Formats: sequence, structure tokens, C-alpha cells
Amino acid sequence: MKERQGSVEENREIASGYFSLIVSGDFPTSSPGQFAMVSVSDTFEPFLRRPFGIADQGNNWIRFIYKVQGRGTELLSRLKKGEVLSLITPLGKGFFMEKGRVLLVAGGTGIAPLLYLAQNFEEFVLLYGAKTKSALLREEVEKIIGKAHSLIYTTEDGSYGLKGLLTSHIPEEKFSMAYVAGPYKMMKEFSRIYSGEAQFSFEERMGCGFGVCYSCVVRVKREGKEEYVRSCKEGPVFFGKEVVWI
Amino acid sequence: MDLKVKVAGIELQNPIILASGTAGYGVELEPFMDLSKLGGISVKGLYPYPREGNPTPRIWEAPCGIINSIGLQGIGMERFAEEYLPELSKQKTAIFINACGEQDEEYFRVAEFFDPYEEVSAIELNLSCPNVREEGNCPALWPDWSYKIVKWTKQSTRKPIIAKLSPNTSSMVEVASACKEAGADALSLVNTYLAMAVDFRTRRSRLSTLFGGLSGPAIKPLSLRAVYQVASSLDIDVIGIGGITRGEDLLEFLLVGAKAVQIGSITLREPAAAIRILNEAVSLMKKEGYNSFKEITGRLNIV
Repeated sequence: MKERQGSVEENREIASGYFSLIVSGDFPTSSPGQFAMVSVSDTFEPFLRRPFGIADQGNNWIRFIYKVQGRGTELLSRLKKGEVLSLITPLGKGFFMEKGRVLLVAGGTGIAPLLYLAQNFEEFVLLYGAKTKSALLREEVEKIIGKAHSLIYTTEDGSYGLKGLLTSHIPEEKFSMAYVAGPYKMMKEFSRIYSGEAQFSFEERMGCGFGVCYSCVVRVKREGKEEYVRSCKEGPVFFGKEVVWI
Repeated sequence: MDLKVKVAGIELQNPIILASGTAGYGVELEPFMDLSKLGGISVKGLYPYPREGNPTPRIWEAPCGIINSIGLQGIGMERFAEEYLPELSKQKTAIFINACGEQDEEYFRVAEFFDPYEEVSAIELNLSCPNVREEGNCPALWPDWSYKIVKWTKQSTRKPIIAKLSPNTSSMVEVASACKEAGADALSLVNTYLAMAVDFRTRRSRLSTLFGGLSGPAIKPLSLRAVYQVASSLDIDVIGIGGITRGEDLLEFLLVGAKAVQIGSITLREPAAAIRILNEAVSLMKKEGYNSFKEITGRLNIV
């Protein structure tokens, strides 16, 4: 991990309130599930960087998908091509790769790290849910879907795909691993229902992103003992069997 | 140019110290900067035992700053000494142990434990964390309580004792004076300002606790005033803390009487900020024709 400058190559609204950000620059290689801390302001308002899961990376570029949620992402969404921003990347521990047929589960912006991860699997089922049709990034998803893959869309209001929460539509077949990314509540509910082995990518509120402030902790049970561990350093990906859901 | 400063009887190669709580155990920042270029590092607060900390959420952004309620999560003094100190001590910088205690005697135990470690320069007593007792209470709100802990801890070690003070009291100068009386070698101030953030939609605190501590550039004018008040009232070394983000801030703290400074929240945004701040201060000094930091310290003109 290093602090590096890059310049905006693309910052495009791909769905209402959702942006694709491509930054060009010489960034160290990442693995799926890792994240970057992105500067959003030259002033101290807002003060902190914003953490984003890496959605893709290639030679001299890195990509993120973010949703405008507050002051930071709003400022970010105004950046034009050629503008400079600072990244600390890659951070955290990514997904542990499993062989065979896997289940990918994405809620909302949880889709970003899974688009990156999906490139590593020959066979997968993607279960992807959002509140409504306009929040489903279908174009992004369909780019990576091949013959050996299947795709289940869900929307809470039924405006596209299956109606209801994503967690009411979990496929019943056996997978070698489930990879889950999205809001805490969704992941908690998924872990309650799903009995197979799973890895979860957390979106805890973060301060630094590199392990010094201890803001972003997740509760885990290790060697019989419960403790808080930093999702920026020991995570953001954790195995379901060690997570203590609150 | 002479960058050296002397504080609590220790010579530092420059006046920049990483503040406790925003620098982890020091080694986490190795990928970002050469720690040997720092005057010192005050490591994350240590109790005699591991401590879990507060539930989440633990942080909330305020205008030009942050409010935190981490609650001093930590691995405890023994694991720190085994797992981090050997590596950290390879760096040519002063190491400050930030000692904490739930019971008063625990400060004593931490200070005593580190007494034999040559690589530790001083003990900074965290008398002022607002996130571990009811309603932000802490020893540094009370002259008697602070006196007792400093006096006692002073007997546990030959190392210099630095008392880290709270701004959340109108008797800060009295507390500072009590610490000096009890034998403190220096004071560091300020810890965070007791603060709140709430969400009117959920009608809940933005943090897992009701209160948190405010830090960052938002508090700089307040902490500058606090440092001035203490440094101008008492003859004791003061380390200035609170919202320092650039070289000029460092020089301002020296001007009002600080012998050194600590760099806190800015590290979360910019991990190598401390080195940038030092470099900026040095070039400002050169530009203004100063040859050492000592020429500025406490030289505020009051008309």
C-alpha cells in the first residue's frame, strides 16, 4: 500500500446516483476484496478520505463504483476528467479464492468488489439485489456474465427480477463458497439462512483505512474468544464462521 | 539548522511527535514514512491488560474534524512489549508509552512495567480520555485526582512522566499546576473536546456512546488558547496538541509556549502528514531567518 496520485479518466453516472470512477496512475496491484482510501476534498470539509472496494484494476488504471450518499461522494461525483486525486491502495485482505461453482451475493454497491472477484471464476451464480430497478447496475453485470454463469436479480419493490429481499431468493443448490458483499443487515440475514461456507465483505464506517484508529471494527470469535478486529486491516473480508453478528 | 528541542528532560531530534490514538502502535505507519525522521511517537494507550473498546459506530465526521469514541481498545502492555516494541525500537525516534488505567494503580503498573525498557523515552499518562468513564469523566478534570496519579506513578519509574490533560474543565490551569506539584516532568495538551453528534431521524447518537471526543483542525483555535494559558501560567514543559495540519500551525504552538507538538487526526487523512508538517515548518523558519525552534518558543508579543 502506498499513497499515490492519479488523474480522473472517467467519472460517469451509470445509473441514477451511481457512478463509475476510473483513475489512471501507477497503482500497486490489488486482489478482489481489497479497497482504496480516496481523497474527496482538498479542504478539510469533509475531513476524511472515503473507502471504496476496488471494482477492477488493470495496467495503470483502477476502477470504483460508488453511490452518492453524502458530502464526500457528492464532491467526488463532481470531479471532471483530468482532475487529480490521491489514493491509498490496495488496503485490507481480499477474498480467499475457492475452486468450483460459487455463489456471489451482492446487495447495492456490494456489487463493486464482486464484479472484480467474478473475473476469477469459471462457474458462478450471481444473486444481486437492490431496492428498485433503477438501482440495479445491469449493464455492468451483463458485461461479465458468460454461458457458464447464471444471474438472479431481485428488487424490493418488484420493479425488476424477483420481488422482495435478496435473502428470500437464495438458491438451494450446493456451492463450494458463497461470497457476500453489501449492507450489514443483509449479510446478517444471509448468514442466518445459508448453511454453507461463506465469506463476507464488510462496509464498516472507517477513519483511516490503514489500521491506526480502530474505528472500523467487526466482532469476531477466534480461538473461542470474542473480540473486535479492524475491518481495514484484518478484513474487510471475513469468513462467516468467525463473525459474531450483532 | 538546529531542529533539536528538549522536553521533559529528553532531547528530541525535532519537535514532531505522533499523538497517541492516531498512530496505532507506530509500526502501522512504516509503509508510509520513515519513522526515524520523527521527534517521537506516542503509542496507542496501554492498560496492564487487553481492552475491548466501545461498540460501533466509533467515529463520526464533524465540520473540519472527527468525533471518536473508540474507548481505548488495545492489546495491553505485555503484548505490546513482545509484539511491537522490538520492531518499533529499531526506529531512531523517541518512544512514549501512553499509560492508561481504569483503577488508579493501573497507571502505576504500566509505568513500572516499562521502566526497564531502555528504548522507552518517557511515560505519558492518559489522564484525559473522555470515552471510558460515565459522561466523559476522567482524572484530568480534577486537580486532586490528577495529583494522586502523577505523584504515585512518579515513584514507579525513573523515566520522565508527561501528564496528558483534558480541555473539558474550567480548572485546566489548576489541574496542570497539581500535576507539576506532583512531579510531572511535562504536560501534553489537549486531549479531545467532549462532543456529541445525533441523528434526528433515528433519534439516536451517531456513536455507540452518547458523547465522543472532537479533534482535528476544528479545535485548533481552542487548543492553541489552552496551550497558551497553561504554558504562560506555569514553569513546566508543554507539548501542544490539537488540530495541527501544517508547518505554520506547529510554529504557532511553539510561539504560544509549546516545546514540542503532537500530530493527531491529520494522520488519518494523510498518513505521512507529520513529515510534511516538519518540512513545511523548516522552510518557513529558513524563510523568516530563524536558526532553531528555540528562537520561537514562547516568544509571543503581548501588547
